[in-house]
Amino acid sequence: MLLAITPPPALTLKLADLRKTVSVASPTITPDGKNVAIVVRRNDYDKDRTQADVVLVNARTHAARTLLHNVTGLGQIDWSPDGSQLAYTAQGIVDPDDPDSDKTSQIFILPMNGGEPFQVTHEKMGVDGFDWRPDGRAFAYSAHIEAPNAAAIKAHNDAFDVTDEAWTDQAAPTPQYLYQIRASGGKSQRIGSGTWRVGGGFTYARDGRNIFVTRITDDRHPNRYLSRQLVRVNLANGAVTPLPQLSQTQSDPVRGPSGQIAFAFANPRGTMQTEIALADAGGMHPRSVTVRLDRNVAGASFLPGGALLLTANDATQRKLFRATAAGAVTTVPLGNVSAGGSSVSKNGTIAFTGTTPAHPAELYLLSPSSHVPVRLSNYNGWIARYQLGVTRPVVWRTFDGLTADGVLTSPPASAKRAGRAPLVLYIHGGPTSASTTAYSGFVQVMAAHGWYVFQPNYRGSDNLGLRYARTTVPHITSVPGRDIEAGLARVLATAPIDANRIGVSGWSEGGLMTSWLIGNDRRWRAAVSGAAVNDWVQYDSMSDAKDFAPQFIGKSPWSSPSEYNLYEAESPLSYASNVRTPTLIMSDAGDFRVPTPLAYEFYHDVRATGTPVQFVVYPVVGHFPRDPVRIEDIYRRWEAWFVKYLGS
Amino acid sequence: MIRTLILLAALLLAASATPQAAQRVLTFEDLRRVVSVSQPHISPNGTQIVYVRSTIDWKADRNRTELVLVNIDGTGARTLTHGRIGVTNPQWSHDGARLAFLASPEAGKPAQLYVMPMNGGDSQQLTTNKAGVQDYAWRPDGDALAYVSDDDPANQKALDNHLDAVVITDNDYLTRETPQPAHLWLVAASGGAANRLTSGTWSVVKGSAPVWAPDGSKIYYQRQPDPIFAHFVSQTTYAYDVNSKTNADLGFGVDSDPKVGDANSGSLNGVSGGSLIAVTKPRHGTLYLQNDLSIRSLSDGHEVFNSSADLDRNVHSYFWLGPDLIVGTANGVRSVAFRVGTLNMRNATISGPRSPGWAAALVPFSDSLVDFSGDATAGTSGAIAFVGLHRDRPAEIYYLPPGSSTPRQITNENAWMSDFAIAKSEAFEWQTDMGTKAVGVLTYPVHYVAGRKYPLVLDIHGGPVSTSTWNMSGLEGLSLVQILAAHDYFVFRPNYRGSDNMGDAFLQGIVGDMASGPGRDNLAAVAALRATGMIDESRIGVSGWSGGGLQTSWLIGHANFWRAAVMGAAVTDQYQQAVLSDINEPFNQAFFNVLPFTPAGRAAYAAESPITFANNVKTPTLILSDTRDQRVPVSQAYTFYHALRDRGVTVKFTAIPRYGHFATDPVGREITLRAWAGWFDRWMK
Repeated sequence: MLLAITPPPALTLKLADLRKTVSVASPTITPDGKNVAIVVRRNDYDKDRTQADVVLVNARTHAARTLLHNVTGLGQIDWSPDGSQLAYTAQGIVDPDDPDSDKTSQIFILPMNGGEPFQVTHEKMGVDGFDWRPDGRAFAYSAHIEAPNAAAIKAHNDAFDVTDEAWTDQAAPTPQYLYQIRASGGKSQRIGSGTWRVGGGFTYARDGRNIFVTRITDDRHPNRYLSRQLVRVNLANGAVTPLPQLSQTQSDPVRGPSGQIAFAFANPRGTMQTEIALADAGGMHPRSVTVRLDRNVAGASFLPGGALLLTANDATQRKLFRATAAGAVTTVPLGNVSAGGSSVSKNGTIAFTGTTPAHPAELYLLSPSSHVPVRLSNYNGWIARYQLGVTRPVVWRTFDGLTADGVLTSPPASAKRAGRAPLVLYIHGGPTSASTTAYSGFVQVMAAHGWYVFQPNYRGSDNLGLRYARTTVPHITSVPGRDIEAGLARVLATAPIDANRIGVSGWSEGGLMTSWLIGNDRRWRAAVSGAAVNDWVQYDSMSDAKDFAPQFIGKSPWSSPSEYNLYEAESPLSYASNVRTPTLIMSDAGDFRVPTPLAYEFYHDVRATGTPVQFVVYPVVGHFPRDPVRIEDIYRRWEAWFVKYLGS
Repeated sequence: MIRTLILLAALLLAASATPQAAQRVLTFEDLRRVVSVSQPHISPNGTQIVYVRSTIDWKADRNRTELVLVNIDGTGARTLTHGRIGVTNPQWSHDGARLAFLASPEAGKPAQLYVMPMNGGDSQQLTTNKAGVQDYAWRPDGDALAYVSDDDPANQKALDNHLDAVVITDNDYLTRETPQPAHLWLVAASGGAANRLTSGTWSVVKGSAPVWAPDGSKIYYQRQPDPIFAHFVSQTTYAYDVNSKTNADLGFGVDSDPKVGDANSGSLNGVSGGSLIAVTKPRHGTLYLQNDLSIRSLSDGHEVFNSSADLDRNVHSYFWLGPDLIVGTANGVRSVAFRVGTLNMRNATISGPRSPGWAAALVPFSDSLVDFSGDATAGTSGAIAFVGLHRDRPAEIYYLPPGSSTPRQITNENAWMSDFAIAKSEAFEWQTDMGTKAVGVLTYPVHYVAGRKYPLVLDIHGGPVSTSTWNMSGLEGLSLVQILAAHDYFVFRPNYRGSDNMGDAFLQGIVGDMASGPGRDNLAAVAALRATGMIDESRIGVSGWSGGGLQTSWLIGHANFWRAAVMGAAVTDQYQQAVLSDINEPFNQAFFNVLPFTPAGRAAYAAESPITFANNVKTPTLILSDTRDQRVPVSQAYTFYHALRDRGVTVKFTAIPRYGHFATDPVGREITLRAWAGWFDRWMK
């Protein structure tokens, strides 16, 4: 009888099951802490799209109701300061007589006392982001302007001069400016004047008469992402006051309960680590609050009293931290929940999305008086019927004596076979990122084949502090490569793995590591290398991320022969002729981040060795497909490649 | 009356003596008026010629084409089509009662096959293949047409559902869909459903024309093993048997462009004309180097004649003319026709021993400024209609009566240009370190005054297997060179080793020395030009597109006397070229005899790559490229740009947002050429 009520998980997770995964994101709590708005996305595999709804969850009863159904182009959501309205960005209302009208993203307001959403803006090129004025009567928003030579472009007189463009660009970038518009709509006004451009987040000062803005440092191309500073702009006269510079990169200010300003800055000793500074209400006298935390901060919001709630990877979990203005740091107790986005009410209630090792992201709430987060949603309850592998941390020593870690997922009991099991390495990208114990659908699908899955972190990962992360410079590839090899040795010493059936795989930086590992070690039975940085010289010329290679390797490869040689030495292409591992190479056709030509290069070099190799291209723009069908197709080929060579 | 004539003659004399005093010079705006003519076909009764007339619609940024019918004496020209999109490839039915052509039913859609009755009536669209029609041929009886069309993808439903990943092998780096094989179809001239003739994973070579046997029993076509573009180099001639519906390899090995002789064709070595097929055969195994004319027996495939001994030129085009063949090639700085057959004119052969019975002879024209382009066809009477190139004016349609050497100009589409001063071009020879001379085209500044010195711009052709001729033709010869000359530069277009104007030995000189061999030739050309005393030696610029861009980027890495450089769609890294281009590994294999996947191969590619010498560059350089160039991948422009910029060299990289190797739309073409000429004006004026 009891068994009938709670049957043990019995099903084997298949790739197609992941279509059932519901994404829960952007938790936004009302100022009074009574409700949380979340964005819920469901896969529509047949139509190859995701459906986005905005759902309101009652913090006390957990009751949920959908506020906005199937919103096209849903972006940012944010409550008005008094909580009576919800503003969001979505595709504008298209005039039936003018099919081209407002297909771009616009600001809408949903009144919470009844009534349909009202479109506030009509920006030709669309709204990128917005901030409520503290009085709730206006918005500041950022938007790209039309190209200054739009008329000439329309006449096909459209040649442009390349400087720091990506190889996929078809026009020069247009500036992003800041505007203000009344919440009731009407005409917008540009904030400030001249040619300076917005390059990130912005927030009103408490008085509503000034605004703190991330701006692109003068004359720098938007692809120079490390050249950003903060300024305070006087709304009345447009006067621009730069804030003190803690670093060459400062961005994304947020306003505290008494008007103080927190913002992100790149640690000058290692720009891959983003930290948080706290300044006064004028943006002056900033001080880092993360010296003791020493982690890469992914998000910051204010708690009552002026302390900050920070999100960061730490070892093999993504955690929430509380940092005081004085820099004292305490960990927010979350148990085995890895935190995603978060939002704080006036009384200090924290709404956040969280993932456990056996359950995809759901909405959680942590009230100020509690030490245990409460789960408010169960969109992914279906997963309970499946038997999952267990994910646990693995710790090892690097060749130079540092501690490194990763996570190892063992196959679920039902998938275990007699004898030793195959192992798949699944290496994260970034490198400023980390693999954690949080649920991963594809990892579980692979584990369900009876394989162990090892997700190593490595030098450059952001889960063990700056000293660890920055020692990847300038050896962006070879040092992490040795870290992963050391981690693999640890895994082989602790789990019953068949050393003749080890596969290696990853996307982006994980693809880079895969291409490197198969060129420097022949133990692998199969490899999947996606969007891999196979050639750092080419990457430096063609990627949109123009500060990346200089940040992690050094000056331009053309600045001296030794720099050039370093770029080549850290490029998997230099070792491609050694490859004997059957390899699946994948890339988007229009990958502006890791340029597609790099995959062609590696493919031809590996093919020339006579090693089995297949190269698959997805006809989309971007660094990874965003639609359910192509994403599943990538994972299906990835899985099939390992099934073919490792056995299932 | 007599007085008046004398006066007129005097005026004409005065005008021609001092053109610069009275005439305007060409500007880019003027060049928008150029009318291009192409594809002349003589009607079967021999009285009329149909051709394609192309004009520029600047506002719409389109090239507008129409079919024009004109009598062989040049009278009675009238337009046959009106407002159609992309009209091209007219072909008469064998009885002349109908005219077929290709056109797009609507903008942005692929071309379909149309037939127009020539006794009145509108055109009928015969085909509806989704992928359109690439080329076609009338069946000799005139009741049907064979055509070539790409297959529809077999997995269209999956593609519609975005299961559209492409498995890549030798595809180009912009590939977004799996190439589909092209196959033969047959459609009745009266309309109705078309029938597929062939199928399979192999492909008819795209853009190749089907060829009917005179009795209609077979269709000859070019086949490649799969539809990947780069693999056209493996093409060979097949015969489709209409009755048995079987395909047979004719066993010629790699060849191209089959043309079947007919009963009128002369017999050769005992094989009668109707049993002969002509193809081009690569002399060194690859279509990228010199191709000779090969005539073979249809019955057993054996070669009965090869032009290599009698006609040592790369064959551009040819057609049967009665018992003989007319062959188009480059020769020096000219574009010429040879007649191949049982000739008596043996003194006119270029070189070498002759094949028994047959020989090749240059076809002389009475007007020494008119050149033969390969765009030509024969009438049944033995007359020839051809696009005649000209040194001093744009191309027009010419008619050469049977047996005559006096071409008659049929069209005068560009008469307006007589109001303008045209720069004069002549041949200029110089010595190469191969021990032979090379020859290029020197174009004088429009306002040239003897004794004065002028700046010099090199405009280096691409290919590399091609030739700069002195004609006002092509993008550079017609537009760029005239504009630069109008700005009072000397323009020199060198035919460096690898060019196909001097024979196989000169062409082969480029193999293994793809950048450095031609580079040395081009430096020697500049030295020879300097020695003339006509050049302002402080103002010498260098430029070129594609293979000419390769040369430009190599030359600025090997000399610093250049005042400015313009490198368009330049091959700067042979390795990238080999693995990213639509012509892929086979192209570089032809010029290197090795692939870059061994240490030696990689070193050979680096040694012939301009990027290797980028550290030496000091010349202010303009880099031009289309953003989606499938032939010379834009990645090479990015690499070279950063190599120069990051070292502080004055460099500008102007990208033209187009797909292709050079913009084909009028605005795209003009903005590219304006940027090119503008860079020299900025640095050399």
